[in-house]
Amino acid sequence: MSWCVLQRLLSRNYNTCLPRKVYRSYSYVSYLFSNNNFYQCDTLKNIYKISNVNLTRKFSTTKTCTQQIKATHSFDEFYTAVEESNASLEDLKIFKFLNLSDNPTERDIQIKRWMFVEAVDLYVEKTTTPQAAGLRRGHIEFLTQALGRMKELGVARDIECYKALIKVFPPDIMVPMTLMQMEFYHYPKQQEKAMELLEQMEDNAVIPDQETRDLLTARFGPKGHVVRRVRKMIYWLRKFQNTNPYKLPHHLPNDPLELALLALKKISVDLENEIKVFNVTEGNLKFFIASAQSPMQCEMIKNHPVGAPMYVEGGFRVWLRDKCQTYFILRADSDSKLFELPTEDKHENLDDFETMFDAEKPKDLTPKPNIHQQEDGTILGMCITENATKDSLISWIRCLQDANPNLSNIPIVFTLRSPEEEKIAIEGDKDINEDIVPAS
Amino acid sequence: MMAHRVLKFSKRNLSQLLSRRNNLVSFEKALPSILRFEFHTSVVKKQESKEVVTQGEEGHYVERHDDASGKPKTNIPFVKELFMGRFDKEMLLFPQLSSPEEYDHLNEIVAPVERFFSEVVDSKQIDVDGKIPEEILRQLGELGLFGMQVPEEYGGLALDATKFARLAEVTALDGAIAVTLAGHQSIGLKGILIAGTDEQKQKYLPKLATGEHMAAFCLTEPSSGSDAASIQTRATLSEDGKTFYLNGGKIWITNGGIADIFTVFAKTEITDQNGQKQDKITAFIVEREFGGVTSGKPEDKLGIRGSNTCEVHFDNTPIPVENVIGEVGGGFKIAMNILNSGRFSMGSSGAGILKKLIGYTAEHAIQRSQFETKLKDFQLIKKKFAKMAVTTYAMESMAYLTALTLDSYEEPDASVEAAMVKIFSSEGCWDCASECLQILGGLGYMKTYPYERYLRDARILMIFEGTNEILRLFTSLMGMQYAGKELKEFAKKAADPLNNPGLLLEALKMKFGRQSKSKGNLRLHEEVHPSLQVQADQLEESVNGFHLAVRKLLIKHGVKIKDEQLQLERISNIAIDLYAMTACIGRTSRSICIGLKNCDHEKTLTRVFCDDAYARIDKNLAEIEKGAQLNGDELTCQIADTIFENHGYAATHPLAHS
Repeated sequence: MSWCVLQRLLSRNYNTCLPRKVYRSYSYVSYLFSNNNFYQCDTLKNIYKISNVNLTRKFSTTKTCTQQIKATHSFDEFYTAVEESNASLEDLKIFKFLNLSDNPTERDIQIKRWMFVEAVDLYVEKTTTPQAAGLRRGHIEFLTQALGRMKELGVARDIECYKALIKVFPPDIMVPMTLMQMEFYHYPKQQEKAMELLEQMEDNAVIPDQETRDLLTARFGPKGHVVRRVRKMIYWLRKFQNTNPYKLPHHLPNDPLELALLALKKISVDLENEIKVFNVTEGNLKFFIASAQSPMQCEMIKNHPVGAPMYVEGGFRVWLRDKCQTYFILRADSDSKLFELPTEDKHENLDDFETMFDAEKPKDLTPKPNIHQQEDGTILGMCITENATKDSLISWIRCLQDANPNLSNIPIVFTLRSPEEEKIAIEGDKDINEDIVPAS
Repeated sequence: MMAHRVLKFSKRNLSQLLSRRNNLVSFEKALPSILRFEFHTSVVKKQESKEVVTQGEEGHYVERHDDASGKPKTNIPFVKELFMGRFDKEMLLFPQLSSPEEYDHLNEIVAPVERFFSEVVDSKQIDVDGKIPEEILRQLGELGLFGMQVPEEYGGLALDATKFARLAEVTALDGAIAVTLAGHQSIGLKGILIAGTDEQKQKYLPKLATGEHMAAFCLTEPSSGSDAASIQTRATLSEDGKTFYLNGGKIWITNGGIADIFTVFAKTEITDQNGQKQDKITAFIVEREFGGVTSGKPEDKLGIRGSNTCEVHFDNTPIPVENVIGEVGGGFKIAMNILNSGRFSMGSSGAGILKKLIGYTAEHAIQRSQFETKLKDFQLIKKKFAKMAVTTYAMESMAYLTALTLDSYEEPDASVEAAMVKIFSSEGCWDCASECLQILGGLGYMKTYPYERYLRDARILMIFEGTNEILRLFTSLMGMQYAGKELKEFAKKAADPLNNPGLLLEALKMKFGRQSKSKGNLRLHEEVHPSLQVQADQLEESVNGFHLAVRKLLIKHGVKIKDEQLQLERISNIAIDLYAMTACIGRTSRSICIGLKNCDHEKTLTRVFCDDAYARIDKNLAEIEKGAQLNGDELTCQIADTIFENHGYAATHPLAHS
């Protein structure tokens, strides 16, 4: 391919897409042509409303480039600035949060989201000065840092924050226009970063929406890797979002009681299950007990032989996404007769059977174990207490006695795997990672 | 209110694209079918680049900003086309609201109404008293429920058909209120809305929309029920030509006792072009204050007891000529228009009630146990629930498909579809309510519980707004008429087979080939999610069989098909099943494609419905093919004739000696 052809390929659409040309001086292909790029400053000025700026020098010398990079602010700087102004200016808070939700969890999410978006917007505003002229030096570094901080700032599952980050990529400039650009991974760093951003969204189960796609299309062109990826994500993630039968709310609540209720709902299999919350005060200790029991379980407690013991066992773990809950069960020994295989040879008796209409208590029909009667025990109740101590479990049994008077006649054995020591930190990455043990 | 101005359909709006899109079918086949919806989108976007287009992820919708020409003028009526064996594949792309925000917005409207109906309205008391308390009516007015479809400029909510259908789901929770509201706005004030002049609208609608005035629709007379043309009420023009004087009586008028504004249909004498005098129906707006209006005492009814139904008499009531709706003598068309446009919402109302009922009954089945087994574990009970769910699903799908079709055209033609929705949903409601009572056993029969009320309320659905029998005839005859126009040529040729040998061959094939249900070349399965291929094929086969049956009937009976009511009934039953299948398959396909919650459940529902419908269609087609002598129609008529001859049951008592 002759030089002329290559040049024509690369310089196609120059007249219509000026910003691209300018931005090219920053890209690895086009520094070759940087000398040709400065003859249309007038139009540039019109586009960016720039005046009195010597564009030629700015883009052609390496010196200014280094200065620009040095001037880059880190994400933390912006975030701290927002945090500080937010803390000091109560008025601003009131002004910004007229529509704040009454729900504390939601309120928290809203404030965190606003802080993050504000910090990113601040950066975008700062770097869209006439001097920067759409270049936004150092935005990859900014994005890297911001993406890394998202989890600890509590916005990793918030789509608005990701949208704000996408807006950091300068629009229009990186859309490939020529064959060569299409072919050779135009602006590789930016594309890689955008892919990383999308991957992080996927990891956090954030489903990109229409706006995300539009934003990325405006930045990377409609057919690039980035947009193709986001399209796939929109298509598949939306299909998968409802496949989980134990779907949790997108933002898990912070309130331990609400978490406990969610966990109990998840682990209760009986359709008639009732979840009760007892608020107990013991000495100067106040705590809640969330207890799940169904009428069928009450019935079984009622019919439980007086002498036979029951056990309170635990704590077992149940996970709500990345949060862990400890629960305890009230268990009785299983009735082994229920699980015995019939000894009679059924083959002799194929055409003679008794129906439910023949006798008051048909002897043929053996009772089937219900869902609570398992081979290793009969589960009679479940609970999650706020502090998971033995004392709280004793209170639980006391609370259960209201609905199950028979419980007071039954010896109850606490076979706990010392819940105090087993107590699991509910928050914090480190602990959780250590605690994940594959279920055997 | 940008939201409701945004268009609903993707490709339906872009009819000019259709032909081009069809050319792309071969490309699409090369794609994995799962990605086809994506592909559709990009095609649409590419060709529409001049417009403001937002791509829908599912490939279902394209938004375009409001302009007067945004909505296509009118649609090609889907069901009528089915009679010709042509299937508009667009109907398999279940339409949807233009954006998720619009759905949220709709839910915001619905939530307070739902709360009102569950917390404030005491349906039992209304049923016992036979009257809706004034307070409740006032609050309904405050919620804006009296002017749901009235434009905003006249103080209404300006809901489109879809949103109206959604609200109808909630208002249906109390049958009496639902009927009162329907009598008021679906028929009562509809005349003013669709055919009134601006002055009439300005004068009447604001007060009607707030519920300050109630409206009633006066058509039925002692001598004329389903046959609207035979009314006797008469309006005579005064000599100065400024006033009509109305005389006559109307019966069973919903809201008759409480309404202030009546839409009355009466015969007037007009002179046609040839100078001959004729009696033709004219529609009038009559205020109670005009004088001479008396209403009888409220009727005591089986169901919907809280709604006010009574006779209304007009004795020389003067009506100024400005109060004529439309033109003098044009009343019949208006009456038909009003009735046709009001029916579609019955599907969603029915689904609304049934969803509630299924919920209650499921609670009962979970709790109650017999023979040491929970009711929910009995297969016979499970079957009943499945049947109810399938019916409700089909009902809901049909209702919303029709509503969304109505919304996407300026002058939609969906009267046949609406009638079919009404037939299907009224019968479905009755069957399912009855099944619910069966599951509940003795409990359901007791007045202590609300279930028997729902059953009583459901009975009226099959009777009013056109009895189901009339609507069945309407459906099949409208379709037959449509097909007949096109088949005229064919029929002519068929009558003279020797000069048209090609046709003869085809007729022979029809005769001997048992071609009545063969898979054609519609390729419907290409339009839906691959997991619904079997259902799409079933639909396709049925459509082909249906077309052949229609053609056969038309050739055999010609104009006299009008008298073959039993065959017409079969035809309409098939058409209803076809429409329901289309709606179910389209809806499920959409749900699977965008991964809605429980879409597997939807798939099962559709599978079961399509299997059932396919079998029903098969049976009906076989009976049509057999003809009146073999399928028992003649015998049926014979039995009835004997009964009439004997003025009752004619068989002798089994204990009698000869």
